[in-house]
Amino acid sequence: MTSDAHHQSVPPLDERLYKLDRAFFKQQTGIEDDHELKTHLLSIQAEAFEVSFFFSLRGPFLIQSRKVYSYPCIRYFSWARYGHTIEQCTIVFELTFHIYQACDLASLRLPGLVETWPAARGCDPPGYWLLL
Amino acid sequence: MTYVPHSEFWDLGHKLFRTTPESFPVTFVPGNVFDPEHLSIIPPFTANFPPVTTAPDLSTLVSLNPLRGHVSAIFVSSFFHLFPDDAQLRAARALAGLLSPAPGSMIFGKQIGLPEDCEASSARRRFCHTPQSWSELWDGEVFPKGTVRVLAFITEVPKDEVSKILPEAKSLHLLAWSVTRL
Repeated sequence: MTSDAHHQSVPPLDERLYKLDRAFFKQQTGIEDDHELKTHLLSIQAEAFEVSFFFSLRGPFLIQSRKVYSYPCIRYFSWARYGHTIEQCTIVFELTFHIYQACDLASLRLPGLVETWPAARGCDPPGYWLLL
Repeated sequence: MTYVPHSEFWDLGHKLFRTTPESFPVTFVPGNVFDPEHLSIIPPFTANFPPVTTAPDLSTLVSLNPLRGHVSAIFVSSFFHLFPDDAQLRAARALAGLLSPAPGSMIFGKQIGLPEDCEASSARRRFCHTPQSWSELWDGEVFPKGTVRVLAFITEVPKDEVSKILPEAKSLHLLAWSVTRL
């Protein structure tokens, strides 16, 4: 590993990287039309990329690298391609399954999961959850 | 430097999913994890020294401090790699103070990491942990040794995807982990 993620600037946005968990976003946004959905996500992405650019102006990356650093995960559609919540909750499930054995979490599929969490349903995890 | 709490990404989430604070009423408390006014560092609570406060009404929160000792699960994704190692330890200690002393309470997440036997620049080493160094940080530094169980594993991002994420990077690894109270 000769080059380094922490010494690089991030290239501009690139539509060719557009990739999404289509069913998830259609279900969540109610947008059925593929073109409309893409326009919606690209516009959110552009806004988020700009926000991260301004964050980076005084963030640790700038101190470290002396370069402006927008978040690569926004550019890469990390937040869309895995259905976001799926990826995160899969890890939750893998690592916490033993806690919630009383609930049949393994049988929950994503749409059910999103509805279940954080709304008050039978399978809520005990106590407070803090998501960063 | 004055820190102004930001909620831009949270607001964008509402826009993305076409929700409102009414239709998706999850409490969001923006703040700086390094600001004691928001979250001051205290030793982790234990069964013998549980929090004396009662759990707050979430809708009243303006900082995370009233939640200290009352959180059952803390999920931290793509967060720690934003900061160098000393700041990561401070953030970890701050989050540990939030955790309930009840067995099974956990902090878990993922971020950019390093495999154990990997050549990496000193800059990346400052920002990225291996499973072993991450486990040692939580089990021994943040929490007293032997009071938590740490799981941590590395996955490698496929090479053709790495070039799309960071064109100059040769490799990229993710560290997924959990810290559970025994």
